[in-house]
Amino acid sequence: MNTKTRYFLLLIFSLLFIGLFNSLDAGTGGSGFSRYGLGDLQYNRSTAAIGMGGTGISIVNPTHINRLTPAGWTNISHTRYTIDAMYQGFSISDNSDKTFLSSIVFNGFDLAIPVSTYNGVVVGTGLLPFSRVNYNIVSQELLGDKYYSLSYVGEGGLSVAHIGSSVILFNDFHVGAKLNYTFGIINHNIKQSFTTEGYSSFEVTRTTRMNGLSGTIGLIYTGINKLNAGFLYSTSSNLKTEAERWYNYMDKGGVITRDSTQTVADKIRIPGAFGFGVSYIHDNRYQFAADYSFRNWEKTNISGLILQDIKNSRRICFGVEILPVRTQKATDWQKIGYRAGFYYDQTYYSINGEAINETGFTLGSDFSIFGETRLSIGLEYALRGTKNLQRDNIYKVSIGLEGAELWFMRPEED
Amino acid sequence: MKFTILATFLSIIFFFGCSQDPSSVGKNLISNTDKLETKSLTIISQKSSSYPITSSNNSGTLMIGRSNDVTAEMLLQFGYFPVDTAIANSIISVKIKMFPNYSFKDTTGTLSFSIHRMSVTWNEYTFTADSLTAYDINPIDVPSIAINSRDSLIEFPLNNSIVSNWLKGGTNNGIILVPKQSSNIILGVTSYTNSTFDDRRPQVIITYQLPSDTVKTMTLKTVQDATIFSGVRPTSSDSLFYIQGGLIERGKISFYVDSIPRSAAITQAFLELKIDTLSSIFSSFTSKGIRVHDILSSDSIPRLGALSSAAIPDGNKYLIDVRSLVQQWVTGKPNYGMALRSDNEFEQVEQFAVYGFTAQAENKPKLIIKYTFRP
Repeated sequence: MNTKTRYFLLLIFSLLFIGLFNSLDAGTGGSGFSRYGLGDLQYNRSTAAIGMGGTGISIVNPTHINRLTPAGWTNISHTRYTIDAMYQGFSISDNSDKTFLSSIVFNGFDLAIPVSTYNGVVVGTGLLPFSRVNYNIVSQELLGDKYYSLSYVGEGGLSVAHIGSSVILFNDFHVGAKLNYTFGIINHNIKQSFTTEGYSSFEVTRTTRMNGLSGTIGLIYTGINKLNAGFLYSTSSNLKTEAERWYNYMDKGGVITRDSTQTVADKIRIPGAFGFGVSYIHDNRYQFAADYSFRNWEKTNISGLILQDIKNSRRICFGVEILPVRTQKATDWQKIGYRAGFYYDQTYYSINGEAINETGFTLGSDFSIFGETRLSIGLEYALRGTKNLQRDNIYKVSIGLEGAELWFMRPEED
Repeated sequence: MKFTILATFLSIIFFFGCSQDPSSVGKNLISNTDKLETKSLTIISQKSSSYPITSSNNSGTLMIGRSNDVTAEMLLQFGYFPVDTAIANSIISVKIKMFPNYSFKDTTGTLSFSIHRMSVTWNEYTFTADSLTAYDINPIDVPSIAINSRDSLIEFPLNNSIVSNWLKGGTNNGIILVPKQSSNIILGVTSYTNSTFDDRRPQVIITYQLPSDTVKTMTLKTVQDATIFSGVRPTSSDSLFYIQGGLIERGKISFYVDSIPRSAAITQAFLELKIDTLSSIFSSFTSKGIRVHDILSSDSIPRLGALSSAAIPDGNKYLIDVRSLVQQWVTGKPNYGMALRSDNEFEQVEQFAVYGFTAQAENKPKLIIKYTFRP
């Protein structure tokens, strides 16, 4: 068996094994914060970008598809695809107990096809997570002298399918736009379970389906020597929602009866967002980047979802990448990138009047596993929450498989 | 080298991949509107009554006798008789054998009855008191037996001529046992066939002797049977209504549960009933069980649903678990009330006198409910 095959088989079997292991484990889940609003928001970052703290608004990269801004696609010269998976572990504690819950999730797929490399025209499409709801809270409660189990379980989230294009204008203006279709289902379940004879149990599941359109435009200016400046704007998105509640009333012998409330058709509005970023390449080996992004949640409507107060979200991130040789003609070792980053996220959660903020540190690398196919690895550690409510220690491990092929491109003549 | 890095990296994921069981961590995040509250509620019955049922009775217990203004007549059809003139002309004696399993009210008494030939065909699955249109008015026999229902066996003679006629190929519609006024007990006997080794149906035993042969017996068992009840039903009022087996009376109670929110989960619901022990009549065979059913229609004789629950009393008080019924009402199923019946209404003639909705407050039928809901 050759080396490429070994790597590939190891990767596939490992991911399958981890996925199976987690799906069999009753303890899968995440943080209770994701119960609120649309859940934990996922910033559009590839595994490579995760290593740099999630920066990317001003980065034009020929080897990684920029998920933050379509303006960053202009230098892609080969058809590229990226598929990412993420392991996320939550070590959660409050003032009485602690637990560790984890899951493995799909973390996005991208395809970028260069149409005109000279003009930077690249068509990109993909499917990315926008938010994730994943929590599992179980407590023992007392009714009279009988204990029962009360669980709050949530799952689902929103995804975004997009299609867009980039172009270079006036040599230094890299412009991109994409159309986003946001869709998804969020389920929240509350279950009261008695094991005592003579008591009934029940569960209520609230299912909310959402879908709607939005747009994103990005601009990167590369005319200031080795300094890039980027701007990103995403329009607000009015999502059409349908909410249903399903009630199951159960006895030991099975379901006594079911009930449902009528579907409520409504609209929620995901507010627009904007961001700025700068990046700088030093000595053709080191790239530094910093981003700031903002979303105006306070002026929006997400009624129909589980709400506490929400507040505007802000995110600041910094990243650095060391790439020994930043050209196509380099050995595999020289193409290994090393990344590190930091971010501070004022999330949109505000629970019981307490703002929930997140601070994270990231590391990453990528290397060729065969030909143009590269494996990206991103590590992330973040701290979120407050002592009074809940403290999350978040461990994320991302794996991205990136490939490149020459599609629709006329080969260079000898 | 790269293979080693990758393998190490994946090992780290395996290590961290172990999750613990979900716990109460995160409970602080649950808003008050999503927490469950529990409420207790007692609802007094708005209406109570009883209604009569005339049904076919092909239960496991056949009955004959009179007691408490109730008359039980027993239909028996034995078979299948071979046509055998030689035996028909050689009958020495015929007797009927039965296996007691019940009596009402007492275990001892006098059972006098006349035996008549049925003059019409009948079907045990559809036969009711209304079907009893004709039988031969002249009795075949008029036995009178001192009954002790604790005996394992009861026998009485049957006139040879009717059996002889059946053996000659005469019409066999069976016989009917009609109790006389002098009877003061209702006797129950087994009609059920557990197996060929435990067949305790009533039997007719024919003793005969063919010429130049020894005395022999032929035993034939019932091929169908039924009990027909008639008599005077107890009179119910708003303060006391009756549930009865045999000559069946069922109860009907209504409760309004509109004060419970639709999304509430009925954790517990008990129907509390109290009976007037002085007006109730029970045999020593009864467990005094009362069964509750959901009612599916507003008809005067309502259709009953499959949901049911039963209980036996503690003193004169019943607590019957009616969670399923109440939950269905709360979730929007039409509430036609609940029906009450003797748990053994086809096998026993017990009479329950249940306090109704105008009885004294402590005796009124009540629903005692605990439910949880999201405020």
